[in-house]
Amino acid sequence: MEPLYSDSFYFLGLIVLMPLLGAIINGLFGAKLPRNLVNWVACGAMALSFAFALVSLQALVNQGNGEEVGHLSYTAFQWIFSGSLNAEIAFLFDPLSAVLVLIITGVGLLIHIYSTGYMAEDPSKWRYFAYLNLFVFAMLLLALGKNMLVTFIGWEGVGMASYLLIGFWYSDADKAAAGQKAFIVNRVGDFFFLLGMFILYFTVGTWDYLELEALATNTATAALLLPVALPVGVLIFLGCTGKSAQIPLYVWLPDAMAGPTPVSALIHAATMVTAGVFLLSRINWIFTLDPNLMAIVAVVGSLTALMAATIAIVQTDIKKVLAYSTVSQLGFMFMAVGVGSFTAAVFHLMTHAFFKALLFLAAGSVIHGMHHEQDMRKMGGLKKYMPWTHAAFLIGTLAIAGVPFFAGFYSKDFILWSALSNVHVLNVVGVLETAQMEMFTTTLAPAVVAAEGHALEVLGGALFINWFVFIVGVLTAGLTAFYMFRAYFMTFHGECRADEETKSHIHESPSAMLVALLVLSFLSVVGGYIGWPHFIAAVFPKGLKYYALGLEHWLAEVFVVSDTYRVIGRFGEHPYLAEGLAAATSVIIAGVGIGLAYLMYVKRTDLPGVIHARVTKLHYVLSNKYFVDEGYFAAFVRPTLLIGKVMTWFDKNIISGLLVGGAAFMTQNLGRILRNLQSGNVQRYATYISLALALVVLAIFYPGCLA
Amino acid sequence: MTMQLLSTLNTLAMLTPPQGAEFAAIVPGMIVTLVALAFILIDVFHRKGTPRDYLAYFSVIGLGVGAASSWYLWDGTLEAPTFFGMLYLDRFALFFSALACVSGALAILCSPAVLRSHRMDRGEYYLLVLFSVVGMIFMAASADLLSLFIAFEIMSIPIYVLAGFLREDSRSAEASMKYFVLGAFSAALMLYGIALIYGATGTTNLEMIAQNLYYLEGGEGQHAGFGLAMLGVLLIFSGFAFKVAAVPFHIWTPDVYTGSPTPVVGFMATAVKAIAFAGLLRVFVVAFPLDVLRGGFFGYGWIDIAFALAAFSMVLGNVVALLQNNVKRMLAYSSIAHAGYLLLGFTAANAHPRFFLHNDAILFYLVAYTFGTIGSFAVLSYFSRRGESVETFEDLGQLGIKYPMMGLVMGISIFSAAGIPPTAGFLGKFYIFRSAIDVGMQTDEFSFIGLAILGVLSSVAGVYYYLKVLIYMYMKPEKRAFRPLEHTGPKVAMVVCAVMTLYLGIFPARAIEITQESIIDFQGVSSAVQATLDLGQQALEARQAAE
Amino acid sequence: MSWEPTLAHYLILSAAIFSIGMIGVMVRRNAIILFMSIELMLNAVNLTFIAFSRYRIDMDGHIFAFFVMAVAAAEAAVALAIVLHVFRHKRSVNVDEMQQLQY
Repeated sequence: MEPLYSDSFYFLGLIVLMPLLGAIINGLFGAKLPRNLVNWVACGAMALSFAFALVSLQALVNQGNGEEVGHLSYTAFQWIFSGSLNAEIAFLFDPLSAVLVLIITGVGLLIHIYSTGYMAEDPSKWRYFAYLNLFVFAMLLLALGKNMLVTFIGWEGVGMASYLLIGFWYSDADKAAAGQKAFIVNRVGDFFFLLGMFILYFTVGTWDYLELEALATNTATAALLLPVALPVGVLIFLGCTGKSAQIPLYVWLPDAMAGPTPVSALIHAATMVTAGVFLLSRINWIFTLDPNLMAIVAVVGSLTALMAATIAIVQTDIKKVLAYSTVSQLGFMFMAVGVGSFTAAVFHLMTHAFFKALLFLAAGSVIHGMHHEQDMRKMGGLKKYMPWTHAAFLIGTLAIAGVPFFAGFYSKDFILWSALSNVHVLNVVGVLETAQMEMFTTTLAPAVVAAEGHALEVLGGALFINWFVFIVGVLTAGLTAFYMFRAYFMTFHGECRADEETKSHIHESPSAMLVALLVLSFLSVVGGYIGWPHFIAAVFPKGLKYYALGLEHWLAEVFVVSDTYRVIGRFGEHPYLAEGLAAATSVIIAGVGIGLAYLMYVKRTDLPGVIHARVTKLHYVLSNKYFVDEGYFAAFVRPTLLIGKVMTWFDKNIISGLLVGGAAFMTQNLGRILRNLQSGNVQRYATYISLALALVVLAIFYPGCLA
Repeated sequence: MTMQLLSTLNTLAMLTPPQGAEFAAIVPGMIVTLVALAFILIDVFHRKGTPRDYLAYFSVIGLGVGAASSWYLWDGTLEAPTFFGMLYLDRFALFFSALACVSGALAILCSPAVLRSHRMDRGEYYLLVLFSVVGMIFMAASADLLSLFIAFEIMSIPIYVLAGFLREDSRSAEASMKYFVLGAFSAALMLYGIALIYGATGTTNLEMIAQNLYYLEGGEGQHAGFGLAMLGVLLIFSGFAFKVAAVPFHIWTPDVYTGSPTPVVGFMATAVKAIAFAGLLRVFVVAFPLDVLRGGFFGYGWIDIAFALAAFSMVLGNVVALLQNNVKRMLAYSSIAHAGYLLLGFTAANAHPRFFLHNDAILFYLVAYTFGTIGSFAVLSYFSRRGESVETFEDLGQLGIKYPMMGLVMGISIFSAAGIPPTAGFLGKFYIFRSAIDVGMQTDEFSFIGLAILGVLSSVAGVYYYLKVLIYMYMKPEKRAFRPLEHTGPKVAMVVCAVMTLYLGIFPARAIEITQESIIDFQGVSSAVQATLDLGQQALEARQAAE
Repeated sequence: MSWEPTLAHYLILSAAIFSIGMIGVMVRRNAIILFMSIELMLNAVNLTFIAFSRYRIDMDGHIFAFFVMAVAAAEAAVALAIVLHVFRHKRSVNVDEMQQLQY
């Protein structure tokens, strides 16, 4: 449909501009401003940005015609204009970016408010808020970009802001190093992203999302895009594994916890790390072109989810648990993307933003109350000291564990059900003959691939992957419930294990922090009510039915193409029984996880030690240096222990040690050898130049001598 | 046939005495020369014991006028070389003369306080910078190996002296000595190459060299002459590679950068490199476009040499920079890496005549690099008081916190050097890599894509040591206190650099247009390249009409 | 049957002188001799120019040679100044004693 405001909806520019202004004011004059004014500038910028986002949403809904809402766009200016390469700074506001922008500005505002309490005593608070606003600015660029280049600028910008914020507390060398590690790992990802972008550009000649979508969804032009879909998709996905902390580039996220906790909540839980999921959703029409691409995403997502969950079980640092849990939940989102349920991915992105921000902020409140103690082994029994924080953390834990009526349940259930029900339409050639044919003719992939006769192969592979994703998902859901409740019980129940000194100082956090917790708690409960499972939505009264599936309706027009993955119609008939069974499975496994955690950390607190002791003997040979230190390590059943250990070892030795360390080692030594050429003797230099020249001359005149 | 026609035209041009219009070709150079001469006169009347700041500002204004004259000449360029085939008056030359003037002006702005603190507040310093700029202006415009060589030496000799200008600093003396020995050595090699080219073709005029080589290739039994020409090409290339500091001809760079006065290093790292690239483009594009000499994708010609040098420079520059402890030395290696990126752009754009327009990426990169680099050297100049100058990374501790402005400028410069948006450096790298990948995709020569990947990967490694500067400036404890050299000059330079770096990163449209106009107006090219340029001209006009 | 030097002879001679100059730069430690070696290289180039110029009956080479001489004179002036400068600090003009700047 025709947009009402063609390319001139300047509110989009204002959404982006506000945080930038905040960052500039605080960054340049913050040191001289009164401390309270710094808070007001930062939070005011966010509030205005949020208000403009709401205005834009209103305008978007208003221009809708009941079926579709279309999009709003705004071109700020022509950035590069050079014949072979044109790019403009332009913003696009459609149902998808609306969701993300509201999360960024809304949750961002809450976290800014929370930060005023958390950072109240920090001497360079102005710098912190300037960085935070800068981050929001970059993130909004990423979310609102109308073409891939703007997204990429935001993509790099969030990396830079995240670097500045992780290393904010520079007193500690480790923290500075963590920031650096995050930045460099991200740059590796960015490089792949950039490469993918270039290939895309030189194939189709545009980076504009709307033009690309038109190309990819048109049978005639999509043939152009089809051959590069796999390389472009893989490269961009690699970029996403960097930003969104997936295998193999997830290593930076746990280290990034060195930053202030509100930063972890905003950047490393709610917004930046979900950029990858957002980007894949944004270009879903490229990913759905190639089923293999989707399979890669699904498998990587599943493996990351499971691996991170097993590692989370053995962590004792409360923020590390949350960090690995974030990696795991992001894996869930990529699982959803991989099985073609982009709606589920965005849904989980949203609920996760609520409950993970809540968990981080609650954890921050605990850390604040305990004077920067993060070790759960020194916590316990905090329920009576910090009732509000306890309630908030409990709600967050219930939400992430997938307990019904809390937000996490709805999105996680949607993902699991999608894994089971979504099959790439290619493998149901028979179905195509029926009425659904019409729906699919708008998309290209079936026609091309079916013509090549690969239909059956795809079928076998895809089915396997769907079951794999589902089983891994259910397993991970159980582990999630277990380790989150383990963290909850260890922190808030039992005896307080802190020393007397600390104990006397434990206090509830200031009201600025509690307000944010309250709002996020509310959202963590009701945030899921716009995406009920279909078998429940069916029993809703007529008027409410639409809103019970609200998110799916809202995003339907963005993900038209991903319909190729649907065997089952979108809003029509559903196999309610199967869907109900899937939901029941995930609820039961969550219950098992919670029960196990309760048994081991509340009822029989000796149990972890007992298991640990038995497994010590069994795995004495296998385990070496990590074994003794990790007291809680043995607190699972044997196979999980093994996987967890292998994963931890893999993380520490192979990824961090061999790849990162090895690369550093090699470059350092290479550098050392090369540096020795620089002896300082000018005659030797002259000799090098002559030799180099001789080599060049030889190479040109006798090319054979080099071979 | 076209060649024949060109030859006649050229000979005519060479035999006609200079017309009135031709004198425009020497206007920028003349302005700077006159400023330098006026400078000598004023310096004679300088009252002893008073600061020479006003002389510095005088030279800056003079250089500003020189840069502005490019602007006035922009629409009055000539197609034929002027002064008996010695100088071109095209936008390419004007672009580089403006760049040299700006770079010289910024370097001069950083200097007065540094010189005074080293008790070397002498007028000669500014004079040498001015004369060096004169050499640069003529080098970018030269149409003959003779004018090129003279301009080359006018540019180089003052810088040898400038490198050793701090008389009381033994490291400055050593830097000067090393730079001179190796510079003169490589100049002699290059000169030998020129002699061989002259021997093979019987001329030193660039366009006529191209023609004669063309006939030489067509003739029979002339292969000996051709080998001579090839050797000459390599020797000339080595001379330019030395000036741009490309591996393995980079060997002087770290030592000289470490020892020389900081503002001079800023000048050396930017203007000399930029002008060397201008000369490289001019000589190789105009005089040696023959496929046999050019090679490409390992046909072993100068493109392949540039290719190898680009790869080595990017890797070595970035890897060795990781280990440096001295900031100036780190910047020296980083400038080697930048030379690598520029050579990558050079290789890609000149591998085939039809990609010639991609040279605008080099020009843009040079502008971005000039402002970014002088910005960081201006900050270092600000802290280079005699005996307590900031040298190692440890010395940077907390400077960003104590001097927010310097921290900000350094941050912007560093982000630009590392290629992070929204700075100009990002766009420059982006542009270079884009042109390499574009050429690779269009010709199916994946070597370019491979080189681009190598470039991007090594720039990822580069981020590490660039960030180290910021980490020390903001996150490490202070080792010792430094008294900065309070002076307006460096501050002005810093603000200009930082603002330009951000401006070019955010609103690059005009700058890109200027670089394109410069490339499109490039004179003296072969007919194949000229066809590309005509296409570019049409596209540009169409776009400007559309606006 | 008188023997006459041809172009090749001049070229070989100048190449030999050039090489001697190059080797001189690489092996002689005394800075003054080092600079003299560079002068030798420049003069070898001059010889090449003149030889080619004669061979082609063309004056360009001669002109070039004159300019090279002028440049060589300028370089020599600067070179001696630099040597003096170094001598003031080191009390020696041996280039291998200048290794303050390395690695």
